[in-house]
Amino acid sequence: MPPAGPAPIFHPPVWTESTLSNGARLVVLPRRGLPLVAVAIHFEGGADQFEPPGKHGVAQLTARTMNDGTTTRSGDQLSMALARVGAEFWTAIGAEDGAIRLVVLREHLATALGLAADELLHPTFPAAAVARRKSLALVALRQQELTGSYLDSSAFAHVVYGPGHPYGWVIDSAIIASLTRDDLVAFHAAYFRPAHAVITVVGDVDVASARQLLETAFAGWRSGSGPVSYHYPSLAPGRPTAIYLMDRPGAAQSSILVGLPGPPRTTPDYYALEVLNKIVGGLFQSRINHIIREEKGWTYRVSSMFAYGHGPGAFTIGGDVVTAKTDSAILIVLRELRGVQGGRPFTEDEIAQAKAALIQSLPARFATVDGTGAAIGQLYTDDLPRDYYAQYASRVQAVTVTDLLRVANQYLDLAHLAIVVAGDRAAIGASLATLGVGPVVALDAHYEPAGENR
Amino acid sequence: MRPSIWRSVAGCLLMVGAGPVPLVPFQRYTLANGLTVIFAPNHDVPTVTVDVTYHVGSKNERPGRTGFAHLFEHVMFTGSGHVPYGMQDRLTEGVGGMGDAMTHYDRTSFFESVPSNYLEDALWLESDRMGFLLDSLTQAKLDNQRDVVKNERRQHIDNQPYGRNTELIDAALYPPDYPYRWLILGSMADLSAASLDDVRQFFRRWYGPENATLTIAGDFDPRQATVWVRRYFADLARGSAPATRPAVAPIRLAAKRRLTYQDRVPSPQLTLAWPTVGESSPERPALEILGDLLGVERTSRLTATLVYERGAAAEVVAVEHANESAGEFVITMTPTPGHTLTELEAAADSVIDRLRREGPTADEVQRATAERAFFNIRNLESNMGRARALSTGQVFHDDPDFVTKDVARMRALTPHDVQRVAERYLSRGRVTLSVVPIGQLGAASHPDQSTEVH
Repeated sequence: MPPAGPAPIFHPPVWTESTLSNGARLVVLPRRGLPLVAVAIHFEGGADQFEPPGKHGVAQLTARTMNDGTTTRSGDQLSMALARVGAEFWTAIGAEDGAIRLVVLREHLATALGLAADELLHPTFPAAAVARRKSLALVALRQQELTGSYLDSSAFAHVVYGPGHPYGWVIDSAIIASLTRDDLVAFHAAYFRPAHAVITVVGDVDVASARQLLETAFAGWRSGSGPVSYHYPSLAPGRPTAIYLMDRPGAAQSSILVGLPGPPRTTPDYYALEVLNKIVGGLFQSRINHIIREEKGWTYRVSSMFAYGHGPGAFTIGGDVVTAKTDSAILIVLRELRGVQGGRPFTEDEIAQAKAALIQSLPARFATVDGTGAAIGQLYTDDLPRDYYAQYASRVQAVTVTDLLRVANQYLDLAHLAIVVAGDRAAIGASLATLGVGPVVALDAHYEPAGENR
Repeated sequence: MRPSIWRSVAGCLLMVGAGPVPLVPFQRYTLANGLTVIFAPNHDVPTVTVDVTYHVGSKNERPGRTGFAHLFEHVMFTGSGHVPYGMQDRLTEGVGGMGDAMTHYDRTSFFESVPSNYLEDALWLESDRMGFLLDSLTQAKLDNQRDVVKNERRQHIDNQPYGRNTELIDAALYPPDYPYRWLILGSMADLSAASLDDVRQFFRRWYGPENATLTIAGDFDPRQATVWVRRYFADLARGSAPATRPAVAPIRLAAKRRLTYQDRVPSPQLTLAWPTVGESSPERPALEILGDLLGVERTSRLTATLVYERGAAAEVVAVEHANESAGEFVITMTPTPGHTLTELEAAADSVIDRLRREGPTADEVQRATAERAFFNIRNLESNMGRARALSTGQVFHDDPDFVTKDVARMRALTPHDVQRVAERYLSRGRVTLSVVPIGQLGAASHPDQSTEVH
């Protein structure tokens, strides 16, 4: 094997930060290369902080319907104007943050910003558009509810966090159907405010020009209320480990999702958990993927992750396995979780690879203008220090075997796992019931325990 | 800071005669054993991508032995003569990079993106599996990867709503021995029948240096890379026979073929498919633009009419898929509740007939070409995007700079060009596939004229 050359020096990006007249923070990072500019407005806080009770889904519905017309342009005119200059433009709101993103050729930046500002500041939410978007959302939901992975993640959220916790909210067709135009107008007015916005501009533009263009485009943006606070209700103690089963008759594979609530993003154990995760299921050659895919041939991929977040985001292991091996795959997952708690010691090689995978993948996040903007914006929405990228390598390197064992035992409570399975109940129900892992709870279409349970 | 030729890109794309400035500067040469080598240095980010594309795909298989090229792609990750199993992952993912591959109808590409100091290792990996794969190939490895591929088929096709569309359409569109008829993934039966000797023959025939293009894009020194390329690739032997490809001519259908398929789906779905031309055809760019203006943006003809005006469709997709020697133009439509597939087919035919009679407007064509040009440039932001553009141009057109000329050609399209291909190719001879929920054969388009397939 040829020796590797000396490691290239990674220079984390350096940017200037200022504040616009409207109160939004502005980050500009000039880059020469292709004549592209990526502008992103990152919003701190998301659906979990801004959706009123009983209106889960209004955030995404609002984001989509903003495309359907402003006070001066119809939805068609907006679409055509963007297409004429050639641009990518989209708005999305997640659980704890949101973003409006624009990527455009440098020569059309001013025009594209004008269109983006028009959508952001002056949407009209025409009644016909609201009705159409609701109808499309319901169709999309019906399609998603047929896939194992969607059923798994919805059931997991409901079972582990419960409907009273934002992490337990599941899209409900009755709620979507009940949303009104007034709901969208109210959400838009509350959410899209410069007070909790950070605008990143990356690409072929200098700081002064960027600032001037943004001041002009967003001059009319009124400030709104102050910083966001993230409050989550405390969680009930976890239930003893159980298997939650949803029926997909005739399914060729079972979708499996195993996990429990985990720590927030700001946990001091973040770096140790990231190294641990790479070893468990975060790499192709991680323990569970190597065994279940490469050794056994039962899956195309299984993987693991810590979701973190401002609240207790979950640790999960998931994947699709051939139906006949559903029970065996679950046993392997549990065995490997016990393994990282001490049953199967970490090798120096595993740890070195996990650290290298984390540290050396960092530069690639800055390969594109919008990737760079997203990486910078994340520091603001996730409450991370400005020198996060500069410190990253040393923080990862500092993780020890002792740290890994400690966090594996502290955070992987094997006695209180939710094992969610969407598969052919007739084929797998009996074997799961006798697996000895925990009771099997059949779930209905609302992710509640169904009538008869073993 | 590297000198930027990109500033002149937008203007230079319109040059004719002298030809436009290449979007990706490159150098190309050929080794004595036939390997084509392309270099595209770029020092923006300290990473480098290596791409080895073999001019072989599912098109080179035969009925009864389908799925080989893709199964082969998997086998290429199980180690080779001097590279033990697991080493590839260690030298890609394990150092903060990635490695993957994809098999198409006409070509198979293997690529790694790694930190710049691992270039020599990446070249060593690719050369070893080009020259010494069979040395370490065993029945056990083949059997295991066969199982993984079967799971891939389950996950993406058998267990996926509407997952069988391509397989069913192509079986109706093409004669039994037509090389684009069978799925890249192949059939379960053929995968089970593949023997170790079959696989060895396939490798010797197609995976020699004379049938391959090696592309290096990113942060590297071309002089050093030239030394390494010679060290690792120059002595590799050619394939067992000159690489000849089946002569594949585009086909025409005389009449409509109507099919119905029952599937675990929440909603019926209609797909219309016409046979069209291959990559190199001068009509292919116009067909791609035709797809864009029929079914991509909200103002595209089918989307505007069916989704926005009539609310009859939840989603419309229209795409020209051009393989090397022939292609398909495919329109897929999902109705909203209360609307039928028969209605959607009639509405689509009405829209298409009008477009064939009157042609598109100049503004429609300008918008579609501006968007395509923008996305072509976006794709060139990353090393991976550049490597792919260069290798594709080389393999299909013997011209790594093909993307630049293609963008220029596309910008020169007129409404008449687009009308002409609509007239010629969107004729009555097509495959019409209705996918319906189980037990609802009557939900097909024109159910009494439709043949059920399984």
